[in-house]
Amino acid sequence: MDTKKPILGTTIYSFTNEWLQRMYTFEEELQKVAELHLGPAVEIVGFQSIREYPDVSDEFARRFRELLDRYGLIPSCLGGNCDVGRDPKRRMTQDEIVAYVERQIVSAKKLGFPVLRIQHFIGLEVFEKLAPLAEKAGVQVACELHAPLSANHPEVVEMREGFDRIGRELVGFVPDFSFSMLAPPNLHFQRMREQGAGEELIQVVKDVWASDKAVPEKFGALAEAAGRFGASDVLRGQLMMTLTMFGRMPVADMAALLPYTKHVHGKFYEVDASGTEPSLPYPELFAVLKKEGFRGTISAEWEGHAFTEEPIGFQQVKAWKAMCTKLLDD
Amino acid sequence: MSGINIIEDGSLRATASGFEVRLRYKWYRSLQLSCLENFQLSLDGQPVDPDAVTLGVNGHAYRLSELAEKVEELWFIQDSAVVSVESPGSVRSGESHRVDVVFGVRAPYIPIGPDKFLTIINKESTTQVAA
Repeated sequence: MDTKKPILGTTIYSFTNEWLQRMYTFEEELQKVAELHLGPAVEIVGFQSIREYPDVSDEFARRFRELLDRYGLIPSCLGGNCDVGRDPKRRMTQDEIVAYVERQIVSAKKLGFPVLRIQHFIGLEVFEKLAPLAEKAGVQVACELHAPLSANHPEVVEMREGFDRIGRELVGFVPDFSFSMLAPPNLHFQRMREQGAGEELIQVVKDVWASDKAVPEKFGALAEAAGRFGASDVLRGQLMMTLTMFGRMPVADMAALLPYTKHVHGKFYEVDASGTEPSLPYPELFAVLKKEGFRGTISAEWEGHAFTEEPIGFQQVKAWKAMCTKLLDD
Repeated sequence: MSGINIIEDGSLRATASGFEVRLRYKWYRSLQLSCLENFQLSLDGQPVDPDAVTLGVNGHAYRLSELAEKVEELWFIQDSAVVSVESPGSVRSGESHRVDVVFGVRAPYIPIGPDKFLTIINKESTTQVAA
């Protein structure tokens, strides 16, 4: 393996539609990843693939390691969750969050994952308490960063400084490409049409997204348009997602995150017949990764399943892999 | 159109004490039973008494009033839950009935306010011939 380059692979989460429709078992998904050459790096979401999560049985761990060996795959990142609101009566305390994440650090170690992905909102104090557990297990704990957060968002700047203090070898980020988009994906607008949106409203949404107004002002403009065009509650919900799912951070800003980056989510929605993803600046994103010498793992993260139930995850990841392999070789 | 149904096709079944259906939910990951909210079922347009309903996963059946405490019991995302209703004689084998269900699933790791989390509404209506 050429270790001077990032290592490509996929998250099994890309195959959510296939999984919900019970088309493949977990073992068959790994087999298909290998057959279609979608690896070598493999990421899983614990709560999607593992029945005992946040714990993992010895039997599951043994089979998982065996299958990775058989197929020549490598574990990249375990997707974990800070379920602070699982009890409807009260939120988890800091110590409870630490204990909950510790179970997932143990699971990551058991499965051979070098990184556990969690959420950023738990705050720096919790990261500080997690650091010794991460060190002991040899598992880095990293939080996902996606829209509407961005590299120079005040919250993110504070986290970067906190991670410098706690230790960048223990804690960090998993950036998600959705923070730097060219436009919201076509699938999003297709879904809005299914929910009753006309072309005029869709044009307003596109214009508001692409404008340089402040975010609260954009929310206001979208709410006004939803009212003016008589959008249903369902359509209004979809419409508001335009500002929370799809970011407009300048691609170059990603460089500031890379010293803290443990793994990357190569978010995408649709690689088209020409082999490009029209909503994301993949050539520019990869140019930054190459220029900065990033050598970590990148997962294909197909999130078209938020908009369509078509089981096209494997086809889409295959197209993503071809696109990204070419970008790395250029 | 591919995809999953919330009320499984062909799952309505008459039982000795009433009826049952099998349910899924639309999300990408498994959730704790304590994340189910405002579970409502109706038969032929009539609301079913919540105290007459149990929801079964992993071989255990729970009353709706017990769900909020089940913070460690996962409803695995690929599994169907068996929803049983105690309502003798309401559904007989071979009869056609309309079943409506609506419930929220709380995403416990997506806070959207001090005491608020993203909640996804699962809602479906089906008419099936009971087995």
